[in-house]
Amino acid sequence: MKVANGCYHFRLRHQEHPAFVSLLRLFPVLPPDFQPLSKSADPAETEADQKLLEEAMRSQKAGLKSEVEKLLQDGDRLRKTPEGWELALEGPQLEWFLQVVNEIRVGSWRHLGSPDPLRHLRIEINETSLHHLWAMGMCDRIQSAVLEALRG
Amino acid sequence: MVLPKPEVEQQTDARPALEPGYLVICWNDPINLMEYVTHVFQVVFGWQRAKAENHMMQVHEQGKSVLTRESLEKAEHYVHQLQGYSLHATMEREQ
Repeated sequence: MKVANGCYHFRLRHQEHPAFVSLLRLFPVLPPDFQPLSKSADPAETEADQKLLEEAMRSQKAGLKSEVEKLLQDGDRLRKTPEGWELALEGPQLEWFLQVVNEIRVGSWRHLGSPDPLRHLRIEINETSLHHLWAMGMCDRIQSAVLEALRG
Repeated sequence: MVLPKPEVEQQTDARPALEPGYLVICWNDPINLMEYVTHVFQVVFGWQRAKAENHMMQVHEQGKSVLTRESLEKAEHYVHQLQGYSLHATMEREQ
């Protein structure tokens, strides 16, 4: 990873590119109603506000999905190099990219049953859970690299 | 001689008496990275890193942190923002 003129460049190896594309195409993983607006309020009282929240989440996810597709089609931001692939993102793009990657990570975790590593819950290994574990691992690496870059 | 009337203390609280406060709370979860949570607090609230880190540590160690106290509309706005980053955030009416 390198930073030049406010643009963050991430390098991918040839074999990492298809995995990267598959990963981003998983978005969105979380449903728009995955969280309540309030834990303590009477659901009947907050029904309208809860619907507004879900609508806002739905709209945000649609916008982010569109950004993902644009990124994957944009030969300037995701371009092939002799060594592999390079992803170039500027500040605001980095922000939505982080949101997307974290959504996939949290969504995959929820699909695994929201295991708490501190409680050492065992995850049954099968094709589906392996897929979610793979997505979480990939997102973790990407997210850590982006956050490190942002920290400077 | 007329004694001066005792001054009646004026209410100085700018908040309308009947308007309830709403607390924007971030709850702990075992999935969001600490560095990510700090970053989100900085972006959403415009906080300096030290303040964002303090709240992140509060979430991590105490299970939750009250991030701000707002009117209904503003609290909803912040919860939308935080949930948009997939953080575990809600708004609760102040008791």
